[in-house]
Amino acid sequence: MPKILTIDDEREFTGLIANYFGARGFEMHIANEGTEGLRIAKTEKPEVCLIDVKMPGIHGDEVLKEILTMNPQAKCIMISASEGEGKMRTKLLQLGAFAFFDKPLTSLKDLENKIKEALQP
Amino acid sequence: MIFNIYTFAAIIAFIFGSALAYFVGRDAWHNPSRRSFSFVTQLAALWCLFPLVASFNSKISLLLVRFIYITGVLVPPFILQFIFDVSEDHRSTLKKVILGPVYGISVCCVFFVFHPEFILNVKNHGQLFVFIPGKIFHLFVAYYISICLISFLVLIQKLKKIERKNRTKLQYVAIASMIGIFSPILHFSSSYLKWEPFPHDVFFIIYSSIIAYAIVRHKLMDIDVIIKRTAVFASLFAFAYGIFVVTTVIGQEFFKNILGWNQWISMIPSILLITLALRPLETCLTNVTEKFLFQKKYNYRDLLKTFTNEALTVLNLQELMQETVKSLVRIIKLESAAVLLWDKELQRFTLVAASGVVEGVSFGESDLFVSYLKKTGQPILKDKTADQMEGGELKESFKKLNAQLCIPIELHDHLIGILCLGIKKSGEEYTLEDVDILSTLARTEAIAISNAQLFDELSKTQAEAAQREKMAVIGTLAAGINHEICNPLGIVRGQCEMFLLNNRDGFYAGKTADELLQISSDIMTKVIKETDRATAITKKLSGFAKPSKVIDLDTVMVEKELDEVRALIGHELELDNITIEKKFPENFPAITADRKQIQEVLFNIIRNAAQAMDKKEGHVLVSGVCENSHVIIKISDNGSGIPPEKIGQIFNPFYTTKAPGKGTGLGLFIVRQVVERNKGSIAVESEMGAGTTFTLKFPVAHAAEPAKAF
Repeated sequence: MPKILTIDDEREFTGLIANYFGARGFEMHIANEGTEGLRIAKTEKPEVCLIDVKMPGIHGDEVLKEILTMNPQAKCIMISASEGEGKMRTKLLQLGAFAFFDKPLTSLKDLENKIKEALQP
Repeated sequence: MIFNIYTFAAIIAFIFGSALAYFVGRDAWHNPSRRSFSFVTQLAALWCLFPLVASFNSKISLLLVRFIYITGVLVPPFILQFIFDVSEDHRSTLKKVILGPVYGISVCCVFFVFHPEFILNVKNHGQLFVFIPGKIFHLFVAYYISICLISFLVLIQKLKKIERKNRTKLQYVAIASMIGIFSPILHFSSSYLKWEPFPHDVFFIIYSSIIAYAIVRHKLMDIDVIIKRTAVFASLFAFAYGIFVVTTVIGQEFFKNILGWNQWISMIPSILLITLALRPLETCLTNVTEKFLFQKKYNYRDLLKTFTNEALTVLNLQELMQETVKSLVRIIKLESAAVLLWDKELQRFTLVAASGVVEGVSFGESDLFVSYLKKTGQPILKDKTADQMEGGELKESFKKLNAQLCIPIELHDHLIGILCLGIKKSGEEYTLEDVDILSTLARTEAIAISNAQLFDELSKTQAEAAQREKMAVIGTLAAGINHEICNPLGIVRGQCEMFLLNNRDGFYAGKTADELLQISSDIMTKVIKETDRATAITKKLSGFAKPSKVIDLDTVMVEKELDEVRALIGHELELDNITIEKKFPENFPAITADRKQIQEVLFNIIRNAAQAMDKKEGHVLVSGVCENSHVIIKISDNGSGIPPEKIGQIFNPFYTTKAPGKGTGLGLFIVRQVVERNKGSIAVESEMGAGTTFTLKFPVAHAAEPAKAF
């Protein structure tokens, strides 16, 4: 059963993601800030990480870097508000992000497809 | 025709009376009292010619006298009409009852004038020329005297009732009429009693003079014209007449009896005397009338002083122009004045302020009037310069502006406006001295206009900058808006989508109705919660962004307003790792201020602090203390601080250290204005590397003071 870790300071968002993907047979892990996310990533080694870019405390780009150092196999999908598109995207791509999603999410189905794509060998 | 003091007085009375009638009646047919005065004076003036026309040989004289009496019989109704009009007794029943019949009687009299029983004949009675009245004439005399009596009664009745201000005017009318009435009475007596000690027309001259004086001095019949020329002219005539009479009477006795000179030769010295004395007398009379009838000639120094003061103090262009026109009209006593200024948008000189000039007049650059002023830079005097110019275009322009003199207003040899001056009320022409002094004034005016225009533009720039500042604030808020509004909407969407997808993918198959209801309820609850969140933030935002032009005073709890501000920018600051801490004692007193403006102040200071933060961990502490009758709110950050040489400038408008596009330098300038408008004060302290503290001080709201809005 693939593991998904969702890191976002917004509890309603992580709750929604966990509910949706949990129902579809994924093992869901939730973190509401960066450090907690890193701790879970270390212990659980999730296949897919959904990371909010702008968070209080440790920012999304730091989290991404740390997770990829710990587990280079992990697929990280970055979720960010549309502001700062260009530069931020290039930077995150260089850091090894798998995909981007705009916040607020426009389609759960699209995210599901992207996660499935990430899980393909 | 015999020439003696009686006939001479008749000529003077006729000229003076006619002149006065013309002057009062000119352009005033809409004014009833002026109209009726004009009629009665003109008719009486014609009647005054009696001694003159009677002095021809008896046959012609009789015919002429009868003609003259056509005017005489028409005088009574107009006397009555004038008295009613001048006393403004329009609703009087007496007027309605009496006026019609009186007109009727007079018109009937006209037909009887040529009846032999009206005037039997004209006779020479020494120097006097009299007529022999017939039976009808006795009736006319009775009619005439009764009309005069009625007029007096009406006038006296009115004088009792009238308020003080208008009483003086009416008193002049009463006095003048009482004296004037002697003229016909003496005239009648000359024929009945063969007795006329001196010319009866003199009384008419006195009557006219009193009325003329009342017009000049007290604006009788609301005539605001200074008829100086007429006054001087009439006085000169009276003088010439006096000299003539005296020298003729003395001269005839002396030269004729003692030297045996002919009567006509004896007139030569008197004519010589009149010729010699006329010019100096005119000057003397001009000065006397100037001094007694009119105020002194306008004082150049006063005029310039008034203008310089205005130029220095009035910064509003419209106000400056209106003041200019007003003081010109007042000081120089003008009929009209106007200022035209160059309108950049219309590319024309348009009227900006005027008195006595029709609005909406404008001139293009190609107009002869404008191009002449541009080319020469010299004032144009209508009677001199304009008359020399060919074609009527220039004159037409002057007519449009009701102007007599136009002076260019130039700034650095560039025509920016035109000062237009109408005719002087005194009727005097503009002298070179006038033109000189007014040109100086136009130069002062040019500088004042330029100042006012610059100030106008500066105000506009300030307004634009304030608008840009608002946009910058909106930029800051945008992130917050995204977080606080879009995210809840995203959740709402996600919940709904999940329900639909779960249903489609068959996750709800086999669930009981209760379970499904529970699932839907959970989703609905979340949707409502998120919708509420978005609504709340929208409300806060619209309240904050609304422009507040008027201060809406209320009892304001600073701590509560701080919470509102935190709701708007707290998240944004949190993302930048800036924390806001508040430290308020319990029972912290409220202040009386405009709620939104206090929010604006806190928002701007906190935002400013956050933008100046260069550390990883920012911290803003908002604390409140109460000292005596004031609350003190300190907003401290642990930022980089403000250099001592710059701290004095931070409240100045347009002072900014931020990168272009990030700030306009108006934030703190506006903050200070808003604080002061709310009866507070603001101070700043800063230490390089340690941080900056803004201290706000507001008076405590009185507990009993109700929250009022104005």
